Amino acid sequence: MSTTEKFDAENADNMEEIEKQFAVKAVEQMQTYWNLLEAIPGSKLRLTPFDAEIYEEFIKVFPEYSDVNKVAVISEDEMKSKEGKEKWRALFKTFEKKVEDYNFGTLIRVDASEEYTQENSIFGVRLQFYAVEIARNKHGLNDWACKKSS
Amino acid sequence: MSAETTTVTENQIPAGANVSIVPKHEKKAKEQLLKLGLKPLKDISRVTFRKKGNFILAIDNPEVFRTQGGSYIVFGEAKVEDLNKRYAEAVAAQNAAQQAGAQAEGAEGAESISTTGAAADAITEDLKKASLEDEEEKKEEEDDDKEEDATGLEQADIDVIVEQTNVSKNKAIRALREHKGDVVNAIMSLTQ
Repeated sequence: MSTTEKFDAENADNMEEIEKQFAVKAVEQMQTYWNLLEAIPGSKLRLTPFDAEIYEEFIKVFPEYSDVNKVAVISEDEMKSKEGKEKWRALFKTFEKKVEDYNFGTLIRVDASEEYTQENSIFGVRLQFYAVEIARNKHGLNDWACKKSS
Repeated sequence: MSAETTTVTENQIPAGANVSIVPKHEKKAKEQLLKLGLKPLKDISRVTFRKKGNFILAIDNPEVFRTQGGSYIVFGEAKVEDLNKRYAEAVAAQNAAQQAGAQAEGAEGAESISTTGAAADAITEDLKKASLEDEEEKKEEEDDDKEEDATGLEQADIDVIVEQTNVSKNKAIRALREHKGDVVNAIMSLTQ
């Protein structure tokens, strides 16, 4: 009957709404972060109370990322490979209770020397964003974005 | 979409204005809104928006729709009502009735006193409620004067948030705490 049809349509609508919301959140987060980088040199920025811990665990799980060049330009394929995903999952477990929204969809820049552009942004989760960006900030890779001379 | 509707209903109708909407547009708008999955709500006789200084925007016999997001869209003619004025009028009517009642002793006079008196009382109640709400708002603001406890938080983080969002230090502290010290999330919550 028409009532069931209506119900379906409503459901579809809701889903779309939710999807949009999550994209909106991701973009807001990206803008907020970028504004921060523009205002404060990344090397002086603290994102969470656990920055040091996140970095430490990140390097423990992915020793290769202690190499500056490796965090400067990340590889989406590597991050999302089967092996990569498994390692990330281990990292998520460590921080799932500590880091807010650790599994929220978040945009991550591929190349730290560029802004968020369509080509330069990949979709990951919040903890991946933190791991990569904390490492980048640590190495001062984002300091160029700051407009204030520091 | 919901944001638009709230701003329209809150602010954009100047005092004393007679708002009339072109029916054709109204009809179109309604059709659009229904397509968006809005639910019409029945049996609503009056919608009021309270503004500062006891002004009230009232819409009698409105058509009300509810969005899935939980905001409301209201159609109807908005009228500005001034509670202060209404109260003054009611008091004047009460006084007049009392005088009339004193002069002409009779059942009719007594009745009219009680009715106008009730009207005045009702408005007094409204005014009281309104001022109570005002006081509550004030209290909230006063809370801001007290220094929030910043223990466990990084002073630098608080400064960053204040600098980025222009909120008070206390608000920054609360937001930071609410978001487990996550600076970006705290700023996001304050800038929405």
